[in-house]
Amino acid sequence: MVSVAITEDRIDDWIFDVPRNPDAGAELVFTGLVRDSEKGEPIRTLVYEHYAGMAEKELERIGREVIGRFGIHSLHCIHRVGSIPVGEAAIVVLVRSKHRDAAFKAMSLFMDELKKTVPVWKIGFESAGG
Amino acid sequence: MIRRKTITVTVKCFSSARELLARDEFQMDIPEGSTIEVVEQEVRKLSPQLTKMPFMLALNMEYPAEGTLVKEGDELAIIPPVSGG
Repeated sequence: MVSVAITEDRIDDWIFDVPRNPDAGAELVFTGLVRDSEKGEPIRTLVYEHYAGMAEKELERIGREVIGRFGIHSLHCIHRVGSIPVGEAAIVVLVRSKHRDAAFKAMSLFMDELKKTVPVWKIGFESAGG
Repeated sequence: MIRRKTITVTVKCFSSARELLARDEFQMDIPEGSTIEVVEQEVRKLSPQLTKMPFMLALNMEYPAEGTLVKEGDELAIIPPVSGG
């Protein structure tokens, strides 16, 4: 099962409201945070934009691909866009699987692929100095 | 002289492509029967900076297979290198 969402709301400490499969022995959560520097410059916020509709479709396509490849039970993802302050989450991904090895591999591949094809961009930042 | 019929498509611009072209989207007329590669060549002609800029062209919110034909009313998008996550 795959679910994806894109939001402008805060997603820190996000809880995916999806029941656990009793067969799942591993549950992995990845949270991607906004760092305090961009291209070597200290920043306060990072601004993301996305291609609404396609970004969700691509996230879902990649999610389905990693489920098929590693046999994990489920992958759920929420990506924040708009203006995100340093230290807050830009993405949260949950993977559940029978064993941890598949979960780690699936998470890693999902993030790698996301960064190649999902139409989301960092389009600017607010400098910490300004 | 035989004139090829043209079709009209919408092209959306994101990130650096929007900055270069100074618009969110535009309509473009292309010859009927054009493949996605032909459309990409036409898009690259719109700005000298676009000639060499790396980007992918999405078709109706998907990355099209090589040789895909573009049809009247299709939605294309210029997808500069992405940076999500």
